[in-house]
Amino acid sequence: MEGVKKKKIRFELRGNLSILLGLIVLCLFFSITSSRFLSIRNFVNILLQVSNVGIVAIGGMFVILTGGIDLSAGSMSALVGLLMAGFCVDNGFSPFVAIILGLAIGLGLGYLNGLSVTGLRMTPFIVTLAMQSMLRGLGYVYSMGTTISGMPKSFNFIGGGSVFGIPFPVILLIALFITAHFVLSKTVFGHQVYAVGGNREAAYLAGINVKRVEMTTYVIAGGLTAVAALVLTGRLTAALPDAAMGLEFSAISAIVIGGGSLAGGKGNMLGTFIGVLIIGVLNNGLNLLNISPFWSQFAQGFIIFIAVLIDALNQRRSQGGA
Amino acid sequence: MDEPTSSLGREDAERLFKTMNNLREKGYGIIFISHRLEELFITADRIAVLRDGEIVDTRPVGEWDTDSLVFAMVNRKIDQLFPKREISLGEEVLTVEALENRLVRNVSFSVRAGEIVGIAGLVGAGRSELLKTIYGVFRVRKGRIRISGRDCEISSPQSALKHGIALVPESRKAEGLLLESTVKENIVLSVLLKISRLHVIGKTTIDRIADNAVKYFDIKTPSKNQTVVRLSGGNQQKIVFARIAETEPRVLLLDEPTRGIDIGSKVEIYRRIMDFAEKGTAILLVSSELPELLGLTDRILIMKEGTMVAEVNTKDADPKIIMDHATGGR
Repeated sequence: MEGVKKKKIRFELRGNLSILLGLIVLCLFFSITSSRFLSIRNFVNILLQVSNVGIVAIGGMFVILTGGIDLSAGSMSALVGLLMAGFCVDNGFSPFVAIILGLAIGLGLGYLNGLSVTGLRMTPFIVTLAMQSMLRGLGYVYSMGTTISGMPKSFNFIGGGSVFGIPFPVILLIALFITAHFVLSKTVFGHQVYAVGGNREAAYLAGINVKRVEMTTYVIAGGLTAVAALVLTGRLTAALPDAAMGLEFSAISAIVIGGGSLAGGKGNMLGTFIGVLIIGVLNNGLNLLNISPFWSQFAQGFIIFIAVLIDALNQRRSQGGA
Repeated sequence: MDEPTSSLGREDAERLFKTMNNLREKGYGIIFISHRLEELFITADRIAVLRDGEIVDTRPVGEWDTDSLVFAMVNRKIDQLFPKREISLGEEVLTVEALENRLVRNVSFSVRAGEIVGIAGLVGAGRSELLKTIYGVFRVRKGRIRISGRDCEISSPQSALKHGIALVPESRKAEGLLLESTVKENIVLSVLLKISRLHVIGKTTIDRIADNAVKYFDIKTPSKNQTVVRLSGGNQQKIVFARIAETEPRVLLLDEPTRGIDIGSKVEIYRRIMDFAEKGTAILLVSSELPELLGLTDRILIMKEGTMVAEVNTKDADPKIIMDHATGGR
C-alpha cells in the first residue's frame, strides 16, 4: 500500500516535472554557452517576448482541453489590432473605447467560432482554419494592406509600458496565467472542461451542458486573443495586417510541449506556462548565440517532436501496464 | 483465455466452445476464465475459484454446483445473493403515460417510492432507449412523464437530474466514467455546482465526499487519487453508483448495472440498490440477466419492438413466462 502510494505521487509530479527539467536543462545550457543569458533583465526580456504567445496559449489550452482547436488566433489578433488602432487613429475614439470595442470584437469572433462548432456541428479544425483565412483577409481589406500607427501613448501602454520597471505585458501574462490556473483547477467550469475533454458522452450523461462548456472555451480564446492583439500593437506602436503570422501554431506548440494533448482532457495551465517558457528560452538563447532564426524554427519543431514522442511512449507504457 | 465470451453473443460463444473442445481433443490444456458460471459447467473439467487473489478451492466439475461455486466465490449462500428486503411502497413517483418517439411506442407504467420495477426484453427491444428517453437524451414526441404527479419537461440529462432522475448507463466505459480522471473527480462529476460556493470547489469538500463514497460503496482502490482506468470493472461500476448517489435521486434508472463484473461486486451493488429502495427511491431496472430481475424486483415489465407487451408480478414470474412474452412465442 505504502509503495503504491509513493509511486502514485511520483507519477503525478512527473507530469510537469519532466518538462520543468527540460526547461532547466535548456537554461543551464544557455547559461554556460552565453554570458548574457543568465540575468534577471534577460529573463524579464524573455517573458516580454513570449507574452503574446503565452496569452493566446491560455485561451488555446481551454479549447484544446475540451478536444477542440482554435487556428484563427493569429489572424484574429492581427485584425483586432488593426481595428483598435483604426478606431483610435481614423475614428478618433478614445483609447478606452477602442480597447473595449476590440475586446468585444474578440469575444464576438470567439463566439462565432464556438457557434460554428457547437451549433452548426462543424469540425473545429476546419472552421477555425477557414476563420483564419477570412480574418486575415478582412485585416488586409480594412487596412488596405498598410500599417496603422499614431495611436495615443495611453493606448500603447498595455503593450509598451511598465510598472516599477516590469513591462506591463509581463505582469499581464503572469496575472492571466494565475487566474486561468485557478479557474481550471478550482472552479465548476474547470472540472467541466476536463470532463468534456475526457469523455464527452459521459460528461453529457452526467448532466454537464457540453455545448455551453465548449462555447465558453472559444469565447475565452477570442477574448484573450484580443488582449494579445492589444499587447502586440502597443509594443510595436503600430498595427500591421500581417502581424502575428503563425501565432496560433506557436501557442499550440507551447501547449503540446507543456503536456497538453490534442485529443483533449490532458495537461494543465502550469504545464502550458512551462511550455511557453521553453519556446521563449529557446528563441532567446539561440538568438544570443547568434544562431540563425531559421535554426530556431527547426529547434522549436524538434522540441514538439520530442514532446509528442515522450507522450506516445508514456501512453503505450500505461496501456501495456493496465 | 481471459473472459473470451464477455463480448460474444450466444452463437459465437458456442462456436468458441466447439473450438475449445477440438483443441482439448488434440491435447491442449486450456485455462478458461469466465464470470458466466453456466459456461464453466459446459466447458471445464476442473474449476478453481479465486477470491481476493488466492485460490480458495479446486475441484472436478462434477463436484461443483452453482450454489457451492457461488458460495466459494463470495463466501455467502446463494439465497443471500439477492438481498431482497421487505420495503413498504410509497406514493407513485415516476409516471409514464403513452410515451412515444422514434424509438419507443405507446409506453405507460408507473413506479412507486421504494419499488423496484424490472424491464425485460431481448437486445434491441427498446429498453435502453426507454430509459434514455425518460432521462432526456431522446426527445419525447407524444405522451407525458410525471414526477410525483407533476408534469415534467425533460429536454436533457441536465434537466432530468434537476427533476431527481439519475441514470446508470449501459456502458460504464463509454458513457459512465472519465477513465483518465481520478476516482474522486468521477464521484463529484454530477454535483459540481451543488458542492461549489460561488462556482469555486474546495479540495477538502471533494476529498470528504470521495472518502465517504469510497467507504460506503467499498470501492477497492489504492487511493481516491487513482485514475479510474486502472481499477477493475466492479470497482469502476461502484464509482458510477457513487457518482449517481451524490445526486440523491428520487428516480433511479439502471441499465444493465452488473454487466461484466465479478460476482462479489455484483452482490455489493445489489445491496446498494436495495439501500436506494429503502430510502424511497423509485427504481427502474433493465437487465438481461433473468435471475437478477427475478431476485431484485417487485414487478417486471416486458418489452418487445419498442413497446410494452406484458407486466407480471415478480412473485408469479419465472424465466419461461418472461421469455415467452419477450419473444412473442405464445
